[in-house]
Amino acid sequence: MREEVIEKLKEVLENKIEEIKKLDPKTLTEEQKKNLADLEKDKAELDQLLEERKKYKDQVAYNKKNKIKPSQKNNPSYKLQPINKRLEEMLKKYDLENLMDKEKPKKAEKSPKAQAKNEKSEQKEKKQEQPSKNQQLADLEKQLKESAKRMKAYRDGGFYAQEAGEHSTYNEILRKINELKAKEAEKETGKNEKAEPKEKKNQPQKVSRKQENFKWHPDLTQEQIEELIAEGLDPRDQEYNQYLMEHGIDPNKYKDKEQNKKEPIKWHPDLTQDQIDELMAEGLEPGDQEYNQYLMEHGIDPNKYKDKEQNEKEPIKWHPDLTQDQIEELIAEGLEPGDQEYNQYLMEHGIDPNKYKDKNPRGKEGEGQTPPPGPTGKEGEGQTPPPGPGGKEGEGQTPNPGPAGKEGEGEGQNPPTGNNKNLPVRSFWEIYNDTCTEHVGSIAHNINKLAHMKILPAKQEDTAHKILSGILVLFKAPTKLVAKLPNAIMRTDKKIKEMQENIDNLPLEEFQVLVQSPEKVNSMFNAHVKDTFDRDYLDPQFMKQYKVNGAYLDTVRSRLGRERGAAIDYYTQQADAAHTRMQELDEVGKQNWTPEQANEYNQMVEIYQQSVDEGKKFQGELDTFDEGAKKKSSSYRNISGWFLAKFNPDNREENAQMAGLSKARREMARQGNRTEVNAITGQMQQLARDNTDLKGGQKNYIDRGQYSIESPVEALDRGPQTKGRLLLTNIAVLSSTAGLFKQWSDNRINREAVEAHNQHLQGVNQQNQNIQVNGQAKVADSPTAPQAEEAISRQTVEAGWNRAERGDLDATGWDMGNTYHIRDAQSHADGAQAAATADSYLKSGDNLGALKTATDYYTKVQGANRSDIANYMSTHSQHDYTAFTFGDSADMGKVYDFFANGVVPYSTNVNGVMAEMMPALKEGLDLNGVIFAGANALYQGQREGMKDLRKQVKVTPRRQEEPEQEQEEEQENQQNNHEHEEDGR
Amino acid sequence: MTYKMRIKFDNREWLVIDNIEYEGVKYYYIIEDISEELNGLKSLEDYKGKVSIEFIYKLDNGNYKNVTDEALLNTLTAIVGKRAVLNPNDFE
Repeated sequence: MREEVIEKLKEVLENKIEEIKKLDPKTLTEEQKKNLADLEKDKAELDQLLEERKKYKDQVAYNKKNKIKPSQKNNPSYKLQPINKRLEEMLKKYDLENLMDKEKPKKAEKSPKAQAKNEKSEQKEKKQEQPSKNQQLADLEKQLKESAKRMKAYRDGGFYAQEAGEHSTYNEILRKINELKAKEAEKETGKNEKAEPKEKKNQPQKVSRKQENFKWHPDLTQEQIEELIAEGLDPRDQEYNQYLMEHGIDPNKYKDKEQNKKEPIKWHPDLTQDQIDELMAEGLEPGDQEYNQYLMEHGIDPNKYKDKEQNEKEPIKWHPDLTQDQIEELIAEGLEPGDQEYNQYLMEHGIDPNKYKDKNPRGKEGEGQTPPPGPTGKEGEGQTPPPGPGGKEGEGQTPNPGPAGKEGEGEGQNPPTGNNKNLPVRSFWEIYNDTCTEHVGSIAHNINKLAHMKILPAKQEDTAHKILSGILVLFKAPTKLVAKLPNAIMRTDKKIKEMQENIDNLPLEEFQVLVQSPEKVNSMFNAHVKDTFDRDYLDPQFMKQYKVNGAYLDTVRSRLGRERGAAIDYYTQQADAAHTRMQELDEVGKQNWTPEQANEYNQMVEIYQQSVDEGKKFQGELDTFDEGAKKKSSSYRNISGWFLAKFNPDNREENAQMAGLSKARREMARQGNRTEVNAITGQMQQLARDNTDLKGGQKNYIDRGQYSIESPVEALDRGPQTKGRLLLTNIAVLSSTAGLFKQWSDNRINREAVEAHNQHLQGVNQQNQNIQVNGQAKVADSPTAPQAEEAISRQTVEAGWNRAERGDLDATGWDMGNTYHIRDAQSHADGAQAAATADSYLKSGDNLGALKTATDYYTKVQGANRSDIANYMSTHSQHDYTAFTFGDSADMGKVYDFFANGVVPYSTNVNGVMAEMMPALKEGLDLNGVIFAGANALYQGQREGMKDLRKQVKVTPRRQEEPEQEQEEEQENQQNNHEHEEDGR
Repeated sequence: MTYKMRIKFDNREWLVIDNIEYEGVKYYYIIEDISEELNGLKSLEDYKGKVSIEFIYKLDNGNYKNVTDEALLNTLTAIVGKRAVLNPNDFE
């Protein structure tokens, strides 16, 4: 019993006494007076009990400290029992038993041992004949029924939250019942096995405890043994030891010393002896939940030494061929035996994962075993062994020997899914490319892979090969160092941050793809997301190869938690508000409700239910996600592949290139083309280096010209050629050859770039000497074309009007029976019509349309087949009936065609513009500048070419000539009229 | 393959690996003599520290100075590297 609970009891008593005392003594009722007397009596009793309790507790502590074992009669622990019992009664009396329960809920509910202990006391009091376990079982079953009833009531009332809470209580009770039953069954079985010889196993096993021949503790009295038997306890029960301790008997007194050594109680190392004594007095020991509670209450971390112990218990069995550095790397990567990547790592480092595993592989000869690096078998990544006499081609890198292998078909690389059984042997890069996780977790993996690429052995004696081998020794050393700094090289943090931003900014519907199962996503989108996003990654089967990484899950969970959490909060608030209102209405009383209130109550119930349902739904989503995240279920989280492919945080393209090169190299090796193998190896190394960002990599190992030093030089004695000095000489030589290679490589690349640049510049400059552009510009593109069209149309229209006006139909003297007059009038009317149409076009802004009308009319007139007009025009050829000229040949059709489809030639020299660009060009290639300069020059040239379209269409207005022409025409008309008159006569 | 001589420069001991003349200046290719630290190692990969490699040339005042210009360093490294590859005897 805890001090706080007792203090609370004391406080309650004092408060109650105080309350009554505050009242006027004269006004006190008899009942109040009686209460006061009872309270004071209880208070006095409590004080006395506490005093005694303290005394006995001190005695317990003193005895334990001094290892005094009192007799049963004088045992203070024994004397504490009635005091505690009385205190419990008082707590019950003042309704504080809940407090007591609250303080020790787990003790009451979750510790079967403590429960058994409590029930044992109860049984002792009641002296029930039934064994305690049965009673416990019966009680639990009763509780179970009650819980079920409560659940139903909550459900009926729509209190789903309470129902959910009650459901967990129900499950807890059920669990206890099952445990108890299992324990009983186990005990029975154990008992029978122990007590009965094998041949008697099938016989009835109802053996009473009394009949069993237990080794009772020698210090127990016969009376105590009988008491224990009556309680159903025997030396195998934990409570038995408690009983012994409660009665001052050391349970281990006569136990075999070796046995004690075997199973001593492992107290937490941070516990003091006093605390251990206290725990023992309470009957608590490691494994009890209360024990952990006790530790935490005393500021001790229960798990402080747990991990260590576990590690000590089950040390990881690393492959014996791994170096300490490699083990450290594996630990840093979180890989350990059992992981697929672990085996990959081994193979990449030329270690056979199965070397010490299975001495008698079931597979065929050479299958599933990485052959030892032979003289020709180490090229590249060492994963492509040459066809040896024993092993079959392409079987060398099989990590998991299969039962049977076909020639050229390594089965060992097959993922455990078994879907890709007959894939050919592939290099690491090919596998990596196919199974690339594409998430940030793979970055560290990637860099390690790059850093640990197998180097080319110096077996080939050609110089290039020698150089390459030398460089890679150096290359490997610094990369081994930098491999431990993936963040520095690959900027993991940055990528994680980018990923977080990407996820946060993801539209809602795309975010759903990340957090829902493919089926649900399909349902939401009403389509196959695989089709929508065109990603194989969404194929769960395919996605089994993808791992989900913690940073990704954390990021997604963060947003999910934020969004779903907000929704849960919202619905909780809604439910709370509805519930509060329901309570208020309940207080009013159903019978007093107005119809509105009744209606409101129903609404509140509905809102409450809906809110709880919605809240549960969102909570369910979070739980499901957490469950999946815990399992790192890649089949469920397959969307990570989609996501990561979408944002492509890794250099997937480079991996693909590497895979392609690797495959090509393997093929060359198969063909025996060593030169090509070397060339491809060089490309692969270059690709690896280009993507590993090894800037300064050498400086991690070698300092070169880092600081400026000025110092005298003093010659020393040559000294012996030690191993260290030999190594140093080698470093210096290798460094210089590496430098040579680097410079050669850089120079080659630079030289090519510079050469291309220079060639380009030379070409540009050569052309730049005299850049004459001759071209044609479309007239319609000229900004002045519409104006010219308008001017010409207008003149044409005006000419039409003129013609119409000249034919004054109202004038006298017109003989409409005269054919000529009729035709003349018709001609004038046509002119008027054409002019009117063209004018309307002009008014609507369609200058080209107006021009078309005008030019059509005049072309028709010009080519008219009306013989009289034609005759007239031919007779009077001195007149220009078109009123226009177009160049040398007047043709109105050409006028229109000029504007509608015509082009004008232009020529320009861009020297001037390009000259302005020369300074920039000298500094370097400025493509934009060149384009700009060229475009500008052409524009200027075209502009010049189309400067005045009007001039190119030589329009001769007839208006200026009209007075003369009109006079002539009048004369002609008069003459004609005269002739007609004469004819008429 | 061995070093040409041992010198003391900047109060440290160095092995002279090679000397070359480039654009009228004689440079010495030296590596810091940390052989005692390397003597006990099985292989170079076991060495976790750093090693300094320098090109030094003589100043008018009689002192020597190291090259720090990256481009010149690359050039000089390439020259000695070429000698090492094409004619290893030059290093003897």
